[in-house]
Amino acid sequence: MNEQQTIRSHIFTQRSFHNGVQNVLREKRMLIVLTVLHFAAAPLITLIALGQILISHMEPEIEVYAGIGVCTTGAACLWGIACAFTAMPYLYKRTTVDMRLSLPMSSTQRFASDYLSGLFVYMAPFLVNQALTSLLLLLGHILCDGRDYVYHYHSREAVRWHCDIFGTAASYYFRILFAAVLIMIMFYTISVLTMTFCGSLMENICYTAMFNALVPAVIALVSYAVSEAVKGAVFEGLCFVLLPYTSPLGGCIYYIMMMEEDSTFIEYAMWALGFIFCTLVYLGLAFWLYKKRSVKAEYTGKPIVYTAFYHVLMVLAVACVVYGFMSIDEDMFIASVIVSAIGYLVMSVIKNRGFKKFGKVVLSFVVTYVAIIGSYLLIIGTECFGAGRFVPDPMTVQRCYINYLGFDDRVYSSSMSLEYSQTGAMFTDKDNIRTVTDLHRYIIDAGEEDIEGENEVISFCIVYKTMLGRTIMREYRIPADVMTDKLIALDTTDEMKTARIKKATAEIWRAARRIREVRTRRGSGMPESRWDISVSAMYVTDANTQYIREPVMSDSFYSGLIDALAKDIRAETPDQYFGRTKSRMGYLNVGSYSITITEDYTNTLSFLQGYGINGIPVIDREMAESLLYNFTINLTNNELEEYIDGEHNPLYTGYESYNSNDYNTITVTTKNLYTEELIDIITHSRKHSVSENGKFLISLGNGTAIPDESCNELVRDIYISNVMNKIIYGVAYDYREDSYSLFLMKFAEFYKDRIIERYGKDMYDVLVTYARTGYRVM
Amino acid sequence: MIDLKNVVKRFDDFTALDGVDLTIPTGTSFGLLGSNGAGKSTILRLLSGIYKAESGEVLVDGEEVFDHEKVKERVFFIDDETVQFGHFTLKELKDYYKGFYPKFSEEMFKQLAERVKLPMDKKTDTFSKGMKRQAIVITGLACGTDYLLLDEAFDGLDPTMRIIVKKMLVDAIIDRGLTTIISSHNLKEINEVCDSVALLHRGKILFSRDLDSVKGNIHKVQCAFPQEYTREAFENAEILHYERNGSVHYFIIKGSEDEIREYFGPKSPLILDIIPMTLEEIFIYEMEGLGYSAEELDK
Repeated sequence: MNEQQTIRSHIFTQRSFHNGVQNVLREKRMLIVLTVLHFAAAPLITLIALGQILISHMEPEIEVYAGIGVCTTGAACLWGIACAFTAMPYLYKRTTVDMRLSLPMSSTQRFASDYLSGLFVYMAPFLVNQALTSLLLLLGHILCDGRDYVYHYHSREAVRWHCDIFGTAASYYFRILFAAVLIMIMFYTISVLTMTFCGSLMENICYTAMFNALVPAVIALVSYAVSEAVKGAVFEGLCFVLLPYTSPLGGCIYYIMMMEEDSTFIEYAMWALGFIFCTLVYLGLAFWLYKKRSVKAEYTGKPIVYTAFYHVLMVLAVACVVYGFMSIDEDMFIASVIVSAIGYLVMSVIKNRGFKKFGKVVLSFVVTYVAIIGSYLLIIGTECFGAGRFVPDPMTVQRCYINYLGFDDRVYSSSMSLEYSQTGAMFTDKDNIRTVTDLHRYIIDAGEEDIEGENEVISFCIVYKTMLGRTIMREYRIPADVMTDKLIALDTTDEMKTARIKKATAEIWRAARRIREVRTRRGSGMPESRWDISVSAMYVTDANTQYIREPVMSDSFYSGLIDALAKDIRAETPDQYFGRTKSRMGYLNVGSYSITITEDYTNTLSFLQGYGINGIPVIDREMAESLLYNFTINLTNNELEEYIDGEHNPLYTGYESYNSNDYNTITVTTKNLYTEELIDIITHSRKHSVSENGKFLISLGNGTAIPDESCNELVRDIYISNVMNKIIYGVAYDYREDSYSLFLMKFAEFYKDRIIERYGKDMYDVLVTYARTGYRVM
Repeated sequence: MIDLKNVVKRFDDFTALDGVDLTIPTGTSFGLLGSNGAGKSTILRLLSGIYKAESGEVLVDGEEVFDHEKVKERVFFIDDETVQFGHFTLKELKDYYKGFYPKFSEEMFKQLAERVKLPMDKKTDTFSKGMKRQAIVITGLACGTDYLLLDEAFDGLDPTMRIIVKKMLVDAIIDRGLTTIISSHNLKEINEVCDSVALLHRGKILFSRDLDSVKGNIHKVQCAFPQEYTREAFENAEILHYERNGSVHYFIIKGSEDEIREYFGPKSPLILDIIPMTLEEIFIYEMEGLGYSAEELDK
């Protein structure tokens, strides 16, 4: 090669531009068809909505048009394969090879020109229509948003509504648009990539479809297998390491999930960067193969030009089958062999256009299958090389997130969103991280399924971010009280307070947006609603709630409220937090969000006093009577539970999973007999507390409370009488369950003296006989 | 000038060109002859940058062709397929190629189009085979390249149009020193248009020289001798074909006229007729010498 040829020619020259223009002109019809298909989606829907509002003043009804639009724009988006084919026909159509490859362009110029011209044909109709949609949204925003409309619907009654459709839609629209552009470009690039290693049209279509389906499928199935093998591993956490970035389908799945609130587990910008990076990798690979292939123009017409990529796809296909079947049931091993063998051999016959080298094909399948099933068994057998038993050393953890926000609070989310939604508790202090890892180690050593507790099993989610940038996600199902026992040491730490403040901040702003939205839609003249700001007593009813009279819309109010709340949370002592003091408790309600406050929250109460709220309402006798008669009361007997277990069980309240559903919880059916006692108990119960020496829990309406110690005797009497009444009055049913028998036996043992004193020896014997035999013998 | 130096080109297990050395001077009209699958079209595709040789050099004016757009703009390749530009009208075909070849001449294109009387705005896939060939030939000539490669140049052309196309090629050769390389099985036309030829068989060049010396180097000889001679008596001559009918011997023999006379002289032939051969006859007998004959292939 002489010196001149070592000088790289420019990629973009007049010739390559001319080539691109000619490619586009050749596909005029396709441009028109794609433009029409895309027009039938967003622009048409927006136009129809605009028309309905301007002409009929109706709230737009666009469901049918949306359905049509999804189909047409979906079809146009899938047309990316055809755009790639028509841009580079010389890769699969022999008759075009001579004409196109003899033209005076280098292979680099030709690739760039053909790739970009095909991309133009694919994207230009879409972008033009989205530009039109943007204009229509702007027009709608100018003409319609902010106005109130009235129309008469079928009922002939006037329907009033406030329009803010176009502005709201625009914020979602542009994010969707950007993601759609990226996804379409990747889809087109993958189509070009498969063309570089296939030499015929049928193979191009088939392997493009396979590539788009298999890459996300394999990622999902392998992730599922690993999540099943590794105790606590989070499927989404594994899957979404690669899935959102590596395929158009993965990108769509990410985007749909991201549109849901609180599911921003990968930041949009990070996803976009990762997705663009993967697209560039595919593009680089396509270019490299194209350059390799340019020296072998004679390969056009061969089914597969580079068999390595064929084998990669076949490995992915076999992996899908194996991991899919084995994840359903490991006994489906034979089925996985049969299905994968049939698929593999059929594809080989098609590729080889017959039964050539069939022996080699069979051998290749056997090797592939053995390797894949071997990988599966290795993952399952070793718990993914011991990952299931791995707990990071706290010194190697930069920060960790958990879904525990205190003994009476949880985040209802998965590990996936703990970090990104920032509603979990984050710890960077090594001692705090150690508390988390200690629980983690306990779960692994004891075995998740073998951990016994008193309360409902709940999810415990952890996310570790190590110093090396690795993310480890785990989710376990353990009893609520076991989790609290181990983590309660974190409750009063500064980092936990910060987490609670963050959660309160996020929730209050979310509620504020909702309040504004409702108020804006329904007009400012509407009376107070449940969507506004109030302070209520411990047991929430209308009677014990104070509302801010005027609707509050300003940012300064919410900022002030958050600041006041933050100060109070930071200043709260452990005794105050755990309810060991006697300060009155209540709720601060902002829209649908509620947070427990006490009389010690002086900053918050002082702030709200400026808006007409005078402290936390008192639960007086009248209110207690009302609660008593309007709600069911359950009593949980913790002293009996401890007697049965032989273990000490602290009592927790505030979180519904602490509600016990065992036999030691009874419903009080004798409210009329113990009215005064129950009123006394209700007015002296603490709804937000932890008790190391608690004997009973009372469940009333919307939560549990711990009766004051002075009421324990009363509660005990009510409890015993309700259990005995069932036996005495024939309400207790004949049973056969050993656990109930054990409960009754222990009940009889523990309260023997009291029962005999109150009901007599004969009734005690009836109780014991019933406990032993399941039959009442009076 | 075109140079192929020890060029090897393979298609999987098949060796299409096996160490081919060929030089084509500028300004000549060069014919590529050969049996089917000899490698003629492969050479043309190598020269137009469609294929890359496994080894060896394919040089146009001293520069490698493959992937080199500055060299490729001096070469225009007309292959035997006419379907690939079927969606173009003649005007669109002109506009398409005009953007690639900087020396494209609109005036020449117009003149040539008028000569062949092709419609400018009908799609070429409505043309007959011959009309399609005319379309691409006039486009190729109008591109103003230094080299024009034609695979089956006259295929589909009627006799009158053949004359016109030949004249166009000759005019271009004379006027601007165009170098044409024509691959064809129509040896009559090669004979009329080309001044040099190369004969290929199974990927190898059998010979490459000007047409006169090709024709001057092989003759048909008809002779009779006073004595009885058998075929073996003539072993020391390069005989491609031998027949005997009674006392008359028929030879296809390599050598100039003088050399042949000198060879037979000592045998005192009673009759010695040395008849020049057509290119077609030369091709048939050269191939027969290599075992490529109708009788051999029919077996």
